[in-house]
Amino acid sequence: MRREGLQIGFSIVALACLMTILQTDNLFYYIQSYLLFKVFILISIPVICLWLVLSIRDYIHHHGIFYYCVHKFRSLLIPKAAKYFIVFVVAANFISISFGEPRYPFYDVGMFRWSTASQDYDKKMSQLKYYYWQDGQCKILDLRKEGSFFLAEHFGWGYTEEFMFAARFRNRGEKKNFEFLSALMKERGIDSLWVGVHSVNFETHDVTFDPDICNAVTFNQTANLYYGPIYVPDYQVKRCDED
Amino acid sequence: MKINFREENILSRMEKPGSAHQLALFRIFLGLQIFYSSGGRLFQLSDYVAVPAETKNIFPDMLNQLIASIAVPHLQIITQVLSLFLLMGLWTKYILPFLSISFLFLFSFYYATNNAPIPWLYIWFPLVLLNFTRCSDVLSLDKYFRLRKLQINALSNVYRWPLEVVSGWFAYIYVAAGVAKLLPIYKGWPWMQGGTSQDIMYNRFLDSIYFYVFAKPLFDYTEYAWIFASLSVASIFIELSCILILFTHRFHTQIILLVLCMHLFLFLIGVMGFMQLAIILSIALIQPGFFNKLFKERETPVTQAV
Repeated sequence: MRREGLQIGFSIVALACLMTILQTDNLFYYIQSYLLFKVFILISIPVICLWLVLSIRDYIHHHGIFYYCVHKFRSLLIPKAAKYFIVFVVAANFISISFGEPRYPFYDVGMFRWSTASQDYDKKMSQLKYYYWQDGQCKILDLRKEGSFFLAEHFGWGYTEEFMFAARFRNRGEKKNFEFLSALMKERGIDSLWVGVHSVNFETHDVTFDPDICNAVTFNQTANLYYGPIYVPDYQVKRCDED
Repeated sequence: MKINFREENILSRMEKPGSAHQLALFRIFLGLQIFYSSGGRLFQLSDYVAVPAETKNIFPDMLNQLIASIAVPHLQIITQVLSLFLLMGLWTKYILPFLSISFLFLFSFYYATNNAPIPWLYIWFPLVLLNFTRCSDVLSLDKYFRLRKLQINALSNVYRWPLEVVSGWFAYIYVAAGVAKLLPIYKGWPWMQGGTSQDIMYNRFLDSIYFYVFAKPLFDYTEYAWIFASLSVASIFIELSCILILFTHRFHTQIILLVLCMHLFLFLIGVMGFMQLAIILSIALIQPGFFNKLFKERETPVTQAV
């Protein structure tokens, strides 16, 4: 068991080196530019080769973790077609993980894999959101809230979190996204949607909403916004220009 | 606690007897989830807005064009209807291949326009796998109408191996997610500094369930870098710890609890909810004995088809 443990540990190290090489764009540029990376490559290649040689040798001599897995899997009493299917999916996903690149339906599960450097954030954070007027009151259309079955105020079955995420973030800059939302709100008796500025001060914990249509237009054009600028309806821009 | 890895690893577990009810429940919840996720108006939104996400798939262009032209509403309706059949366990053997294909095609359209993997990532493999299983032997209309012929076999693994494969799938999802954050190696350290966690919590605060419920931030998200670093390390620890599923069953309960806590936290801070999908896959991690007791299934023998 100790031997298998060492084999697994060595495999993890070798695969981490291999995947790092496979996932590095402009590999030769980095080799030429960074001494540390060059050293890493010079160490990695022998490690990967040694791992391959030892793994193949172990397999040929019928011992080691890889031989155990293959032998055990082949001896399992499960449908042959299922075995082929499982092997195919495992192999395809392994390739996807190795290259760090998905190809539907195979996936490297790289959600939130990007690395964001720590930075100095403003104490006040602002987001643009659609809002509407009802009974003289300004009401925010909180799309992410609408994706929650228990918190939704306007939408119900069929308007899933995925829908609201796409409408709120991914498609927010698209005119058609606004048209789709606007049509849905019209069905619910809301004639016009406007864009306002929703802010939170993390120091004081104060949350405010500014319905000023011109401030929102300016903020949309000048600020560096999460997921980019939002689509501002033409009638809002026009009214702002008139004012 | 001495762990016998030879006896407790996932391949050895696949040889053991399982619970027909556990597999059937997995089928039912999977059918429910497919019905729910394929019924969303997201497909109409994607079709209308039509923003390409520059994603890649394994299908040829011609097929992708065909999928795009029939996804809304044809594939969507077909997937929903077939998922109801799966849920009820009616003609399961015959509908499963068609449901697998329609689901893969429909969510290919979803992925092509949204670049978000959530429902299909968790579900597609277990769904296709059910094609090779006897998932409608109990709790199904197939059984009610006697469309399945049963035989007693005490030592059969027919109900166990599919769920063990699904538990392997569970491990793959989380371990791959952990690996993706750490590789390439030079990116892993910066990730653990917590910048990504802080970026998400800071920018999504006003769009988070936490804000909708409590209206105020938990603390000053512009400070306390160590909290974000701890959260990042914890998430990697939880994700990588799922590899234990492959070696032993003894930590399944702890893994389920940790994963659900992680999903609950993500849900609160404004990341899309994966929780119900994780719960569905978690059915595979529960020991069959629990279902045997719950449904008063005979300990041995277990039903098996001719």
